[in-house]
Amino acid sequence: MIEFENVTKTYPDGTTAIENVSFSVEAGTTTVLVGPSGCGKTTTMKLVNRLEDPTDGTVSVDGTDNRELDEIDLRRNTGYVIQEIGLFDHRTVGENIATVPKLVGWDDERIDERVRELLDLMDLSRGFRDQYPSELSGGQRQRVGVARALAADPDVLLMDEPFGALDPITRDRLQNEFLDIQERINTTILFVTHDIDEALKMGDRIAIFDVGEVVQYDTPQAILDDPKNEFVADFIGEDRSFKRLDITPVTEVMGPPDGEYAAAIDGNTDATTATDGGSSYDGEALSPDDSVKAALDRLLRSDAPALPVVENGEVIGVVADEHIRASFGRRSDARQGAT
Amino acid sequence: MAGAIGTFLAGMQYLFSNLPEFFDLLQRHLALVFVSEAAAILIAVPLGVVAARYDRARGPILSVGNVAQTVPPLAVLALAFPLLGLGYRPSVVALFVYALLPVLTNTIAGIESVSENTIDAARGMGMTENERLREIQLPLALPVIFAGIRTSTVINVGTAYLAFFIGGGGLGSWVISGINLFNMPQVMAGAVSGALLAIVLDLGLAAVEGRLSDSGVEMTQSTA
Repeated sequence: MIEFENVTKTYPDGTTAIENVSFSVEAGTTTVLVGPSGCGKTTTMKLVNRLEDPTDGTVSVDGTDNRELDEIDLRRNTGYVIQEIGLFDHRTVGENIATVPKLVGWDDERIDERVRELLDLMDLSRGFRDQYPSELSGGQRQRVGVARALAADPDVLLMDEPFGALDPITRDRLQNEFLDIQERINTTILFVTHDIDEALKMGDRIAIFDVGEVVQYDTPQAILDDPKNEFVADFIGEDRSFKRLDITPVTEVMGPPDGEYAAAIDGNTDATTATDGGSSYDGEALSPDDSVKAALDRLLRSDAPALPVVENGEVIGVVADEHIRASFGRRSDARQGAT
Repeated sequence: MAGAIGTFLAGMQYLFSNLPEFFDLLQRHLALVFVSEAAAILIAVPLGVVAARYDRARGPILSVGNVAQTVPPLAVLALAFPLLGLGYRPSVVALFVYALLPVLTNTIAGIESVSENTIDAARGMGMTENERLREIQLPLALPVIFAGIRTSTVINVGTAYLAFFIGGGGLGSWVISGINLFNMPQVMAGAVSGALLAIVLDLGLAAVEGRLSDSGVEMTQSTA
């Protein structure tokens, strides 16, 4: 748990990076700090591992003011990933990953095992271990960067635009992989980005920064549903309904499988279900991991009034227009009239 | 042209007919170069580290190095004479002073060429300032530092000829006394052998430098 209490950071030259910022990050969750460049989000992050110290207010980690902690110990217990990665070019991938474990004095066997574990976790083949960073692609380098940050099992992970320098396809892939990893590692993550889509995708909670202050701190859903002011609304962009659809899983909006659309579903599936299993729906069926946006896309392209959500070959629910609209708190009267 | 070739051949003949003396001179020359160079490395590298780390020390350190380099080598030798007398030791001191700057500037440049991001990452991972220096900055700066050592050594081979003026010996004995006596074969024998020595050292050190900058990373590891 990380707590910011009335934190102000003013640099010696008089510029104020952040002013009176308060929020707390619950243990095991991911909080994304998002805002335009120069809004103080990176400074805020650096206050956590004391790369910067606040001018006023306190930053506490698990209830202890972090200025009472030894900064070297604090940093060794805090993973740190930056956009530029900053791999050590004179060391192999394995040695890079082993940096912090070595600093804190793990024995060779334990380090060896941990490096292997992390290569697997980051989906890097073991062969990379003895290669040098200069031999890797951008995506691979950032995987190594993340592996290095996780090496000593830190309680807190700080990530400063970790995927910002990657091409869109690699970025998307790494984001998805990282979401997976995030579920497995139970680390408190503070993630900085200027990309609202990335924020909505990665964050359990999002802190939106405007010059030096947190304007809104809430869950992605809440921010999309109810942007606090014009700045937030502008920052999210015109298409916030789409964004919301994109981050909502179909399981949240779907109706019961035996409801009013049962017949439509039966008809729909019967036609294509010669075999069993999810794949037999011929792209029409949705999986529980699909977003509502994907569901809407397929609804628009198909004649069916509703689509089944299938898990392990079993229909667990249906999604129709009205379910999607209902999730916005409005009912589609026109649609109801039609059915 | 024929004259030049003739002089060269005569020079080689002189060299081979005076081999024992040549080896004495060469040995002395190498002793001058290596001892002064080793001392220069021992002093300049730590000074460079200090200069790279503390902005305030940087100006004074660099100006000392600059002054040492700007004064003509002959003048450095001339200055060493009233202070330290004649012979081998004052020569080494003078050559040492003259060899400092290339190593010093390259040490500073090498350390400062390590990218900010790498340092930021090292800091963020909880490396102390000394650990950053030892494990990150120096190993990464090593090829650049070594390039400075190479330049300095090659210059040193040439400068060491002048040591003869204050009784330091070396290949300068043949060249300078040869000039005074118009003994061209002797001049040639001393000059050509020194030139070859400089080329061999340059190539040898370049090979080491090359290994340091690519795969030589392992070398840094094993010595660290």
